[in-house]
Amino acid sequence: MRILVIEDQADLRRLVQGILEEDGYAVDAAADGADGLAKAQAWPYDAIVLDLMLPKIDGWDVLEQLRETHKTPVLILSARDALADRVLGLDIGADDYLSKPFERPELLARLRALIRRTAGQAKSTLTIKNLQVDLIGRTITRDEEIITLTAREYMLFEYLALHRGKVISRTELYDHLFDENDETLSNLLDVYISYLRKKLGADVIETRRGLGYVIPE
Amino acid sequence: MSSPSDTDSTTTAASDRRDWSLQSLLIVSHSGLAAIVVLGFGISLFVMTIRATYRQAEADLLGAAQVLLQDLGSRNDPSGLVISELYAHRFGKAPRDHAYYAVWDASGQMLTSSKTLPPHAVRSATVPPTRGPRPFVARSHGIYLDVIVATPDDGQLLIGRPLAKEFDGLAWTTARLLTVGLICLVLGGSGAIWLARRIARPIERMSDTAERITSRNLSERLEARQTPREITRLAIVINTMLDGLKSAFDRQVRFTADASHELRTPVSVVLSQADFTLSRERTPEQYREALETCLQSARRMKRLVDDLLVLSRADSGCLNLRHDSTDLSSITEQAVRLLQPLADRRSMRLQTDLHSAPLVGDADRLSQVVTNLVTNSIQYGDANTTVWVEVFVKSDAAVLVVRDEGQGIPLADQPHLFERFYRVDRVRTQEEETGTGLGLSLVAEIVAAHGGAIQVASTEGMGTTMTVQIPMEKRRVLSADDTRIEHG
Repeated sequence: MRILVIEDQADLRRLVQGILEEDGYAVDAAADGADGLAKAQAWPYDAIVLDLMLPKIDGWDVLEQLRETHKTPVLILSARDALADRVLGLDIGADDYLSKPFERPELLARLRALIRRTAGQAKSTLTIKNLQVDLIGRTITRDEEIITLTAREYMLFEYLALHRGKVISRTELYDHLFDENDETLSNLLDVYISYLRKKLGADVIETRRGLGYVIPE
Repeated sequence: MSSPSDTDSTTTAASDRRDWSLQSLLIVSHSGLAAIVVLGFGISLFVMTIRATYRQAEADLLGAAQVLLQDLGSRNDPSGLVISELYAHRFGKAPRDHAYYAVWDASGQMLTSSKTLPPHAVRSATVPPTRGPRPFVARSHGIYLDVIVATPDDGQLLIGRPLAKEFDGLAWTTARLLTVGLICLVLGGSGAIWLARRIARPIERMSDTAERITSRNLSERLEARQTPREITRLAIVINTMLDGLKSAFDRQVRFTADASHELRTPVSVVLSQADFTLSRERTPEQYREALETCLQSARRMKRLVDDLLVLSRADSGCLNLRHDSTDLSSITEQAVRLLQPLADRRSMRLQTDLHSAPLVGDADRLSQVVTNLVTNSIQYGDANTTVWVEVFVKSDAAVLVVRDEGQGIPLADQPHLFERFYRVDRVRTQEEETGTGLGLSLVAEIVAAHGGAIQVASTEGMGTTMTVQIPMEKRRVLSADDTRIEHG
């Protein structure tokens, strides 16, 4: 899962980025509205964390312009907590609103919920074949036994699981799993897929030659 | 401390006064005035009527006496003298109206008299005058009126009559006067009540509206079109006052919101950074970084809180300026020296041209003015440009000029420059050193508290010149309160 953080305050930007990265997300960051809007339009982010008081282009304008072309889920993270601001933010097209100062678990939970809902999944648990996927605890269990995955392996699996039944191209996977500064080669995807098959079972993820990967429904 | 009885008596007095509503005051005063007018008018009318009645009766009696005198001269025997028919008729035919007369000779011997003669009808002790406006002696006794004239042979002739008919008339007049007076009083009273209501009702309505106006609901206004006109004026005056209050209140609310907004970001950083760092085991390096971030945010909060404190002191008019004898040039020199490292980091030059400018003021606060202005110029300036700082004396004022070659301030932003939390564009400052947004408001407050003025000249793309002028005489150092009027 890849998230864009648009925040002009350097400390806070680094911090949010750190929090999200440690939770396994691939994170891009932008320090002003113009940069943020350009990135938001260029990449297929799974969610955007948007501050409102931004230089160059303010948060409301970023959101309005983004909504003309993109449906990317947006969580507004702002110090403005007046009712009018929250209502306006949501009405312009934000999917959630969190006011500063925020609590880390809440930010993470709201982002998880946003990503889950966007994928059309309301429940926070999934069942794929004999695997139980807990989207909150980020654990996969088989017969009461927890299967240990690395953060990146889990993200890859979660992305395929949330979009199960749909063939996901290698480019799409790559775009959603690595941030803009990541220089990981795309053939590393095959390595992660093989790790996943080894841990979860060979038949969980299917390869569609020339198209991509899929977890069948 | 005053004794309890003192306070009690004042409250009673106050409540006594409050019990008299405007309405009852108006009614009582109007009715009282009407009563006095009616009473005075009635009494004077009554007195005048009595006097006129007596005059008329005297004149009639005098006429009758002249006829009797003529009659007396033309006959030898005084007995059988009769009051002429004309006057008898005039005096009234009823027996109670019958006139009487008596004649005395010079020696005081009664010559003749009417059949009935009341006992008080005796001769006058003084000789009645024969000339002048009143050639007679008039005497009243109860309802009787006697007129005594001199006879040609130095005797006296008395003629008198009861004024029963006139007194009946007077009683009627009195009754009528009383009736009219009462009607006038009732009319006046109701007029007073009507008038009092007319005046009091709009005032009561205004009170009702005013009661609804609280600190949370300052938008309500009094109805401006009311009679009488004085009330309309009062309503307009109060509305204007409310407008002023509301805008001051709105400014305060916005200021508080902005202040809390500015505090939220550093608080978020400290909170989230600490929480994030503590969420698992970290390397010492990571702990150090986290603490540094927290420290930076805490410093930022401290700056903000310090600035807010100064501003709130300035607002309440107690900036507590020290009155030191100091020199603006030495203050500026020190302040600029401290800012040199910042300028170096941004590859900018600081040029000073300082001439002695002695003045009386608060050196710390003035140093803050210099620091804020120069810091602004450095932060909004481009690398390899110069910031000039000059101090000199011009017509009894110490002048500080800070000039830069930065991007300048857009015309649209210039009027708001000294507003609290107003930032022209945040991206232009280096984000690590973002100010509190209060710097220039502080400068303005401090300069105003010194009785001075600040000017901004800026052209976009060319640079900005800030000119601060502070009067040098001691007497011009005013309290913050006095200068607010000058400033605003």
